[in-house]
Amino acid sequence: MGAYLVRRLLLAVPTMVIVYTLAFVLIHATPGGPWDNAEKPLAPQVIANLKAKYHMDAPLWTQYALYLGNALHGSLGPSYVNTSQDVSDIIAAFFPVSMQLGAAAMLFAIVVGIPLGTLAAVYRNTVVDYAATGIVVLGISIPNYVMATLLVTIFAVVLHWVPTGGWRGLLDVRVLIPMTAIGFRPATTLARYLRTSLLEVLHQDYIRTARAKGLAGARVIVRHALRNALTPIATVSGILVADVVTGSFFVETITRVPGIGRYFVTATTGRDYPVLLALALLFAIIIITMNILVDLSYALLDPQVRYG
Amino acid sequence: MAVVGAAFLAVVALTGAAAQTLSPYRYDKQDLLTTYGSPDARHLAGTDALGRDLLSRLIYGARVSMSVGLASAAIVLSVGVPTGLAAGYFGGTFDLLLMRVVDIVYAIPYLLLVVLLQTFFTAFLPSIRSGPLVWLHSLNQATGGVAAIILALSLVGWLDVARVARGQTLMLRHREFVQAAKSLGASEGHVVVTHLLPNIVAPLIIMTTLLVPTFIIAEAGLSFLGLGVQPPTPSWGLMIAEGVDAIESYPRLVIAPALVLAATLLSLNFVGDGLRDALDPSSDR
Repeated sequence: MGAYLVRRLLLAVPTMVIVYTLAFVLIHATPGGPWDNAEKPLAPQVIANLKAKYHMDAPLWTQYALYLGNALHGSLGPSYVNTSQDVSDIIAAFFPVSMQLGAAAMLFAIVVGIPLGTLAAVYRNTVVDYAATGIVVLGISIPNYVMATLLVTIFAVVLHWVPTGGWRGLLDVRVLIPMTAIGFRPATTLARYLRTSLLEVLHQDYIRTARAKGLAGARVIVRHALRNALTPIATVSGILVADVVTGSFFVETITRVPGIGRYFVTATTGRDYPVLLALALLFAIIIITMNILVDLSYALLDPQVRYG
Repeated sequence: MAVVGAAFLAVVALTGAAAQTLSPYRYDKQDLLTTYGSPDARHLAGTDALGRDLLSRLIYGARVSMSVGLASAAIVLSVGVPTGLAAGYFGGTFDLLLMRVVDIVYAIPYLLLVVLLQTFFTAFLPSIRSGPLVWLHSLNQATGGVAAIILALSLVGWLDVARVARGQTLMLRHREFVQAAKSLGASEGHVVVTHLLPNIVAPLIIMTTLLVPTFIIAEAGLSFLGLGVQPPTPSWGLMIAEGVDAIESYPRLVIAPALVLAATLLSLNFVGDGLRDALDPSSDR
């Protein structure tokens, strides 16, 4: 197991390098610098000085290595737009919010998705199944920004049950709309895979044995069937995490949550390159880390899985 | 359900194609005296912040979404399927290389890559003044930014198609009918085209019907972020973004494109499910 972990971590390094290179190349190949604003046109000498300060006049290789070196030491450089702040400070301010929202969304996905999938499988081909499958289809078809706008319109604008946006921490009612908007699609993905896997499990002999022994229906499902049906969930988790991360871009923008998703959007529209680079790297790290964690939990959950 | 979905889709597609005859107004005709207008006889869905007729913009938005979805799917198939077939059948270093690339790109969320690519394209294309690629910029201008979107979506999307095609090819490569054909003297190319290709078509069709909604969602998402179609060309995603600012006073501006987008995606999924039920008897129901 330890060897597997080391191998996975080693494999993650080239992926990170490639993501970094790709993001670096794309961002530096994009014409137009951050100081091309026509608002307050800068004198050529000022631009030259700024470029020298940010090492933008150095050959690309040098910039590549320099940024990477700095990043590994924890300094991600100053933002071009908010020049008084270092990117790492901004990220440190926004990141916890996104982490909390992401965790809440994952929790929502689990709390809603697992019962949904279980009910659909247990009451297969009845009204319950059709209703659940209907919800699943809605989840596949409705993108998270559509969901967010619909939720905000219905619950905030029309019903006034919640404010339209903002962030006051996890325990405030404002978290409900973004959490649901981000978590809905993962919930339905989870429900879909769980239904299929549970249907397979329920046909197995050991379930029949348990029922023949006279165990109550619910107990059979929870203790025997679910534990085995849950392992495919680990496979789906990669998709879930990617969904939550990309979902945060739109939902945080719509509901005005101050997280790194919204920061990514503002950096994209404002062409703030260091921020874009740093955030792209950050997202890649998050996804890769989550995938490794999920793979490890997969090994823990299913004793038949052995990693050499 | 699939029939209902297909019918709705046909309506959307036809509306988009016939946009110029069907829509009551041009999509960029502003009527600054009637901004945020409620639906009435002249403007069946009301008007937006600049007085443009909402219904017309929805209709033209249909054209954008459909063309992005279909064009991207077409490109992705025509590039991904031959590559996957070749990799699966001939193997070797080409196959290894392809798989490494797929693994690496797979680790990164699709939307993130597409956003990065689009950031590059939207800035890069206008700066091409001469050289072999200048037609790309004109094409992009002419289509209101759609060409760049299709390019970005296809550039990342073909890898998944190649992966599936390769998997299917690997499954069939050693089957008896391939051996029979080869022992009868068929050339490699003939085997691939005449024997393998028709047999991998079914899962690929299913995959395509699920790819089109992904592309449409991505395009709407890009337009929402300001990286998609260039205003005034309407796109449902762009309309949602424009409407978000006024969501508290005029939710209709957001609801209309959101509902139309959701309905289109729903019908695409119904059609996809229906196709899958018809073509793949082993799928569980």
